[in-house]
Amino acid sequence: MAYLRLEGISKRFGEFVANEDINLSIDAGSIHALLGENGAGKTTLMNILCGLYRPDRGQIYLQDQPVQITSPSVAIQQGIGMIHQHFMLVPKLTVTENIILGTGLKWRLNLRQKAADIAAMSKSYNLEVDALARVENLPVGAQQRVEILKALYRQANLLILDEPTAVLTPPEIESLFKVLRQLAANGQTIIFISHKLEEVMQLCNTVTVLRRGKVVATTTTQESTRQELAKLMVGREVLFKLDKSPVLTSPPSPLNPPLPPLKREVGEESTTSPCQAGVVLDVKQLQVKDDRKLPMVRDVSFQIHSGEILGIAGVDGNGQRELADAITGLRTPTQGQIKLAGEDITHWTPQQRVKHLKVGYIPEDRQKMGLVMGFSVAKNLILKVFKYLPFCRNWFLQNEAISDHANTAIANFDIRAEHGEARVSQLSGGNQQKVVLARELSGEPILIVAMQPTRGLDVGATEYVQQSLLAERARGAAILYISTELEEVMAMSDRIAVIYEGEFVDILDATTATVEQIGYLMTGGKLATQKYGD
Amino acid sequence: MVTSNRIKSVLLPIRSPLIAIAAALLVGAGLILIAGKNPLFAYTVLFQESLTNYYGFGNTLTKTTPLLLTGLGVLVALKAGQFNIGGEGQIYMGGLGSALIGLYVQGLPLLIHLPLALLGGFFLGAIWGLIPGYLKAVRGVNEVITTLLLNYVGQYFISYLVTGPMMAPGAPSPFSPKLPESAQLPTILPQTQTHAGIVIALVAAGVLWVVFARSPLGYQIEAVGQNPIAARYAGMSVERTIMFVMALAGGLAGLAGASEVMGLKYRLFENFSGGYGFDAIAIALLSRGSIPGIVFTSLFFGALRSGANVMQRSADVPVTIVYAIQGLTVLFIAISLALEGKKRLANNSVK
Repeated sequence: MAYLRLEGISKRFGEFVANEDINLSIDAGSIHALLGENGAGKTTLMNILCGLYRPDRGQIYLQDQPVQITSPSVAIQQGIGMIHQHFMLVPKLTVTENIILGTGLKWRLNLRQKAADIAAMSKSYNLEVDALARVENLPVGAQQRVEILKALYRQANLLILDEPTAVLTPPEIESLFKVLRQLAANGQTIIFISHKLEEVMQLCNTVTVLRRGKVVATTTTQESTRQELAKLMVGREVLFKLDKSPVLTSPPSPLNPPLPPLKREVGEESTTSPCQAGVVLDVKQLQVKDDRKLPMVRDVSFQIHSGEILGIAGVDGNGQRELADAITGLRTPTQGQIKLAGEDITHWTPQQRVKHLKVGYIPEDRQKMGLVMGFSVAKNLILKVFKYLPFCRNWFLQNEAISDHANTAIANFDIRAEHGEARVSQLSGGNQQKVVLARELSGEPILIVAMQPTRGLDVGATEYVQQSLLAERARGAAILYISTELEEVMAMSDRIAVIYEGEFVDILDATTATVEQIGYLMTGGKLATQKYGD
Repeated sequence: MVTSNRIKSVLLPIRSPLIAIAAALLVGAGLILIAGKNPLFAYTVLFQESLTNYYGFGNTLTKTTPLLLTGLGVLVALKAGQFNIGGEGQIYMGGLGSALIGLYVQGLPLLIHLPLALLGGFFLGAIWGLIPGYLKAVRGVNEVITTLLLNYVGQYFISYLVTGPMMAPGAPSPFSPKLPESAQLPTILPQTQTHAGIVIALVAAGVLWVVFARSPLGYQIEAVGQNPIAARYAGMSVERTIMFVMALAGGLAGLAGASEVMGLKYRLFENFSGGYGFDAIAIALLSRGSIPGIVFTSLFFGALRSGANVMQRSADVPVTIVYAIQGLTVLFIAISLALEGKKRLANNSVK
């Protein structure tokens, strides 16, 4: 019998369709995987289930009874328990206090009795945890057990785990799987959200694959293979063909060809000719840690030549962000070296880089990182050069120069804004991205780091962004193109590096690589164990 | 089209404080009615006294001075995304700075002594702003807490000094000796207490207006305030900007303290500020980042403070009504901010 059934669930945010006509049926006592890339709509769907969002259309059935989940407390009453990727625990409170938080108001708290109950409960489910320990002193794996106990204490029959293994060590993953299997054997229904195929194959009975907000397949792990699931997850059609001139790189000659000048001279015309082959970016054994001091980029080495696009393919959260941050100076590498045009810039600050280097950076989130939303188009365009001539002269900003600059950029980059004084927050996403492009591509950068440059854009704007980058490539810029959209990486790149858990699994030639091959590599497969023909 | 846009751009920043003030006066009128008095008469007395009467207007300007300077300090910090709740403490430290130079650096001509004493006020205020600025930028400590707590440190430090080491010999209550004339701000309206502090405040407002309209410094402060991440990407030092702005904010409030000491009482008194630093927060929030707006709201708050006592005497309306009106203006501006936020959210989700 289906414990949970979804019929035609749709959810839109403005024009963005997060979920479209989702049908799903999950048997009682099974472990069901929800597989999909970031942005595929997994989290939206689960937030609908636990009452954070209301669906625009569709019906949810629990044990064949239609239910309206109007709020998180209704979800709890209905026995739905969500274990978020980022734990919802109060660090200063004990395990017991965290678990009973928000459950019923009685005059007498009786913490001792409740701690005993919880200790007994944790024993019976094999969820080892000290009921009296403070949560902040527990390792991550134990905190997760507290989250699971919290859901069970609220009598959840349906457990939803969002990327539960992302923060765990391999032995912790092993013990989590043991617990989940036992819970399923006891009749709990479990939804396991992940993009790690290996874990899904190991743990789950049935799999639903989401892509771009739609269910593309529901199958069992027995009937399917990892390769097949990888293909479903990343899709296979290349959406558009891009005209691309052949690679301009040649093997580095012993006579070191001249490189474009390193120092920025605002207003000065660059005298470099295009088509110069040479190593622009040279990264050696780079290691970068994230804010939690966990290594996110491990021992990565690569080179990018002038006139070349190196694509980085990988599922989101495998170290792409940290890699880009290290190259642009926002995060200091713990090991390794970054050389730009022969100069070691590993420990340069962002200020030094903006002042002295010709690097363009298209960040992954234009609104959060690329633009000051309350500023006008003109003011955003001078964000990196406002201190220099011609925009600042005799201690004052030169409004005329700034607005001339804006008008030129509006014309050259086809920014749909009436004038430079329009606020960027009033522009569409595509035009906002054009503002970022206009800023970052001006001054003929020798290196461009583009992270998810087409995210959230419509087809026309996507093509515009890609064409601009290809034009920069033809001019001789070296481009690092990071995207989780596989087709895009394949269409744009000359070489493709596949990143998985912070390591480059392989660097492939874009002309011979196949979607299946890369999809397999980016979900944790190794080429050594699996060979592909053609 | 262009001219109407220009008029709009001038009026728009002071539109919401105007509406909030009007609404607050309306509700305040209700309160006066409940108290059994004639609101129209009360308001007439209040504003006639504080704006059209020569002595009253002088008094209004005197009250406006510390409000405007401290309000500018809060506003500058807000532009960089920092909540400077520490105006009160910065005023006290500024008063101390000017008193120290006024009292212990003797024998200088007015032309040197006076600016030096003002600078002393600015400097100590700036330090009182820089401490939270440093803690925020480098250590990540929330500036709301540190600025708030430093208020008490500053206030009680002054209390200690004027009851002990700096107390005037034989003084009946805690205050310091009198500043020499070379460290006294001149009176600008004869027969009133109105001193040159208002000129300093207006000049400061003018300079800041130019800084934010035309200078790269203002541009950088606003960029850091509105999106520190993008500012960092673009090569600005967010930490240094925050420290600079907090020091500047403290310095402006310090000037307010200095002008109170040097222009009004010529002595460092215990508790001489009496809450200007807190009213300044309301004033800065009301003016929504607009410099013309803050001049206007400071004047309004100054007028309320100046006219309140006369209103009590002539119209028999208690002074507390004025505090209620101040509170209500803040409440209404908060409501309008919340409504705008909601509208923006709705717009975004439609997009």
